[in-house]
Amino acid sequence: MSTSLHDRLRRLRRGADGDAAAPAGGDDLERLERALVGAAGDGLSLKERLQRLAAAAARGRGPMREPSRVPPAGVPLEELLEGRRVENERGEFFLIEADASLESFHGDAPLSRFHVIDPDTVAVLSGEPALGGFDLREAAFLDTETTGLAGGTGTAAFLIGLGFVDGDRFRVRQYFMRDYPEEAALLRGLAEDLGRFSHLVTFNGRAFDVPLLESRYRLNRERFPLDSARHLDLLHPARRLWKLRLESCRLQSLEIALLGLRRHGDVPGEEIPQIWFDYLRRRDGRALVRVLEHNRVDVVSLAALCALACRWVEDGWAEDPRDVYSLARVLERAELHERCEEQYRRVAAVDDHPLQVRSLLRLAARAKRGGDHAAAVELWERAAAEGDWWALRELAVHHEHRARDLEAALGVVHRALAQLEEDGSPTIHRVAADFRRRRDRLLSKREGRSPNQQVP
Amino acid sequence: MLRRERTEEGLVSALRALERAKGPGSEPVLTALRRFEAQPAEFAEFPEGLHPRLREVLAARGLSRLYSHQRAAYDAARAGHHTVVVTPTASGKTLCYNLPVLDTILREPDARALYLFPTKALAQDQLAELQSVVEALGADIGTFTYDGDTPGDARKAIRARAHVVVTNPDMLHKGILPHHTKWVKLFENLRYVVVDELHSHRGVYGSHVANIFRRLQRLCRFYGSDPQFLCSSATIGNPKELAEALTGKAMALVDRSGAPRGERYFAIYNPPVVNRPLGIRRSALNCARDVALSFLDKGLQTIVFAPSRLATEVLVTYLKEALETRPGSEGVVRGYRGGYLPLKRREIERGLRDGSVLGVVSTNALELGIDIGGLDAAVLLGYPGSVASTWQQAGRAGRRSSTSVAVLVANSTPLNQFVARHPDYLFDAPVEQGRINPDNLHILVSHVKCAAFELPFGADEAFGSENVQEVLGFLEEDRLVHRAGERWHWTSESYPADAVSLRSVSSDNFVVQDTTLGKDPRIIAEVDFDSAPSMLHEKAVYILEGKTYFVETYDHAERRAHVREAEVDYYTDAITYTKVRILERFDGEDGGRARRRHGEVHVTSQVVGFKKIKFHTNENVGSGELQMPENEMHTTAYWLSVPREVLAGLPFGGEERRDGVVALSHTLGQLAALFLMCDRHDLGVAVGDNGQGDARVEKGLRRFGPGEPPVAPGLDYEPNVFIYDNYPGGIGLSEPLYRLHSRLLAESRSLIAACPCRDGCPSCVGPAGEAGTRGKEVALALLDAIIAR
Repeated sequence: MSTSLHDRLRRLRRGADGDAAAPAGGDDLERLERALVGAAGDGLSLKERLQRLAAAAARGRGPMREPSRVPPAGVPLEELLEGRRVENERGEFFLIEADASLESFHGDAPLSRFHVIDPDTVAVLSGEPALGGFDLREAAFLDTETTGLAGGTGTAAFLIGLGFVDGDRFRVRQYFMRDYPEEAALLRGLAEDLGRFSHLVTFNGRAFDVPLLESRYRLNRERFPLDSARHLDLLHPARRLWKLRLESCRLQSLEIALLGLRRHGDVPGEEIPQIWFDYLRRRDGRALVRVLEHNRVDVVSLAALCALACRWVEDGWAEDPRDVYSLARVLERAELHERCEEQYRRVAAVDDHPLQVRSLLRLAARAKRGGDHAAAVELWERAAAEGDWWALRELAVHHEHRARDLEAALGVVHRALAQLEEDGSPTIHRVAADFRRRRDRLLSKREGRSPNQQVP
Repeated sequence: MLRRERTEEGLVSALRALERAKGPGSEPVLTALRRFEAQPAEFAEFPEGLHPRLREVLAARGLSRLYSHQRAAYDAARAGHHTVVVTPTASGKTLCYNLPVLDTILREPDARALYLFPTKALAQDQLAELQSVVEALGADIGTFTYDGDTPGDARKAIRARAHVVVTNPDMLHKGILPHHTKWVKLFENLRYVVVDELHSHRGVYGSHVANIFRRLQRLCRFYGSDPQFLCSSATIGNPKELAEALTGKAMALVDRSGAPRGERYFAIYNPPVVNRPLGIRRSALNCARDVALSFLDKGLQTIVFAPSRLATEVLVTYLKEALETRPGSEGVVRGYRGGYLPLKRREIERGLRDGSVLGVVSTNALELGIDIGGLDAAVLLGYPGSVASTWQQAGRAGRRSSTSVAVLVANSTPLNQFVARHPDYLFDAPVEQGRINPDNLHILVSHVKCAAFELPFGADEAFGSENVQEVLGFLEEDRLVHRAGERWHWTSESYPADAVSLRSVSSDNFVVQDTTLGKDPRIIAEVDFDSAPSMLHEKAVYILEGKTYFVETYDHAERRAHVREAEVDYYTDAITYTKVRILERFDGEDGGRARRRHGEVHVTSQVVGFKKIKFHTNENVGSGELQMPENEMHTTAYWLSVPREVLAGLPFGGEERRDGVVALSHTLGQLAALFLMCDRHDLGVAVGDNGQGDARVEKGLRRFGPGEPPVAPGLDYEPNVFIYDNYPGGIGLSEPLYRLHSRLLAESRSLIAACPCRDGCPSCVGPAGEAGTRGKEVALALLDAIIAR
């Protein structure tokens, strides 16, 4: 067939934009068609035809697309930043380094905290015993900037920030690819540096950064250096510690709430891929400088938050009852019994707080598991006094099955039913039905029992 | 054997009764009855080199030797050929690929295979079969399905452990290829790609799948593997060609079945005419019920194929009423269609195999290779649309040793009536060809995006037969890719596979939201972009699972329609105005008295109104006008022009001439679909006028527009009948149609001439009212005038 691929591509684009295009009359279309396809012989160079293609697309879309003329000269990144080209067997990439004294502050968090954290705290914080002996001074704090969030092999990390403690400094190294051909060299360079660290800290790295990097290493036929690294993904402990109080547990929200950090002129994360794509085409480094700064701050915030979370766990820094309760849960997960009960008791002492009852119930459950039934009963009674039906249920079970005191059990059930009658929600109906069944069983038990078996 | 004799006797007496039956005009209702001889089995020995464990396991299952085609397939595969096996239903096709695959894995435990089935149900079926062999082998061969239903936590284990991954093209496209780095083991060691039900990979779907195979092979090259394709297909005209077009590889063909077949009968039943002037025949559905009952009453296991889900349910109801009268007889008749839960389907399949289910009514869901054993009788309600599907459905009746029968009950469309009157077409004509056009630009460009996402393109890399470098240049203008050094990289945040749906060209579906309950509209269905204006326009009646909904709002920009449940006694039929403009002529011939052409066209269609049609009686009970957005597309078309001198020689008025052309277009469109083995909706039909100048079409089917008095064509009226590919870019149907031109005209003439109606009916040129009062007469005169003698 004689229609060129190019002509068909052009029509394809117009077809796709058919909705937006004003419905052209037959004659208009005809003219446009002739103008674009030209006379049968055509005789135009491929370049000319491609230019027409772009022009036709622009017309189809209404608002003018940016013409493909050369943009005003941009400023090369190399002139805006102190960085250097690094060469290795796979080519070259761009490396930017910055550092700060550990005596300085990030927001209102002192970086000096790294020196005083117990290496076993990470295991407590994460609830993963395998992360014992995790010295943050030996850890690499890693964060990537990527070409999107879609995942899959078409998403690349064009910038990788790596933070670490080096003597009395906190250093951030940023591995940047100025275009795709630098990716292999960048990955090789990163792998060589990562070799020095035995621990890795990320924020959501388990689900995102690490699999993404693994994929990039595969695509570039490079050995993946993080296969055996011990990895703390701070996202999960952070959620456990702060989600009751904070609406969002994104890194940026945490750094505002917990580090008191305000970024100025920060670039919104969702704009970052496009800034890099634009850089690829225009070579203007100005917008990119903000991306590099964004990534650098992310890495330092990650480190500072990690240190804060560790101190929080070590010293029980929480003040707000919601945080105290969260902390207690974290300690309980790590099986630090006394410490977690101490925190639960702090919340249980706050009258009229929504978490007071939950803390009482946790304490009661722990007492029951430890065999201290008297203590459990007392805690349930306190919770029941606050109107909690679960506590009443636990009390009823205790009296019926453990203490075998049918009268006491019946007393609790009657209390529960009287209280539940006031409430009308569907869940409560189910609960009430459950209590009624319990009451009927208790009553029939009492009837069927011979006097000499009766508990006095 | 007693049962065998009873079966033969029952079948013969049922057939005799059908043969004797006559319509009111005493014409026979059976227009054809063919007998096919039984075929004995052809066996071959197990190959010498077959792994001994495999031979032992097969022997333990009662297989002492192979059918000849199984051996031929094994030999071809072991010799390193890409192969395609074409044999009838239930001929032991799966062993053709399982044998070489298992044999290879037993020798080389690192080897991997990918099995592709068009549906999840088939994948489940085959997995069960494969696993039972693997279990008997006692070998550590992981076989898993990997599809949308696979739980997230199982996926990782499957990626690591599966020797055989059983999936479907959709999952490969969206879930596996874009994440290939997680499948390193599979891609590095991929030895076989098994493609079952190859014949279903045609048209738009097949064109997508061919591109998915291009992507797959690209990734295999990256990982250093070069898998062999083992394909298996039901009967089609060009299995080798289709397989080669799909995979881009030269194929070895195995098409001689060694499986035995019993004696078979095939009959065509044409419901008698009950109203001659209007050409109305007795309902095909009622006739199919009666034919099925004539077999079921004699205890013969019968399958009925119905053309739609609705017809399936109606027939099940009828048959249950007739048969499940005694207590304990519940469940002897079952329905089977998409939408039934997998467990229920398995239960029905088992019931068919063990005989506890006597009758089943199915959509074409059971046409594919699901194992239900062989039945005694098959009843086809309506011509399934292709010779291949007809044999596939008829093949469900057919035991290895005893007699079976299939009856095709024709409905009143021209397609069916043509088949009913020309049984030779069915019996003698070669089976249709499966066609694809992987280089359809819409499809190709979509997959070039996906491929670029998966792996950067090299500056000298090819992808199919078009110049992919030029396509990449085009994508670069849209900033989707970026060339750096010798490679093109994907530079977009999107995940392109998500935007490509394999089941149609445009992936922009409309959602149908039910607002009956007020606040939160519930999505009840999706409708593809092209059908949305005609199905979801305001005031349309939308039908879903027998329930009628009234369309309240149609939101084109948001791609959604709001509907409300409403009990109405009519449905709506949209009136579409179509305008075709010729962009380019590829080929043309002026010889004879009509001109034939094919080329590229621009089609504008717009829904301009609708008719309300009463259920059951099909009366037209009202109409309405609509202002809907225009739909534009570029596609390829075949068209026929009648020179004005030819038309001028006919003794009819201007308006009558146009009625005649419209009438003719109805018949041509129907028969074109028949000859091309495509769905009727794959083709669009429009009428235009050359009179105003060079091949420009100003008038479409405007005379159907409501409230618009038809303008009588002038003296220079020179009509074109366009039959175009109803997909943007075309899927390659118009060029073969161009070649079929003479046959199309001749067969249309004989169909119209033989139709007993007076002024046109649904079986020839369309219902009498629609094609004008003399439409049939003019159409016939036109054909007589243009067919070269």
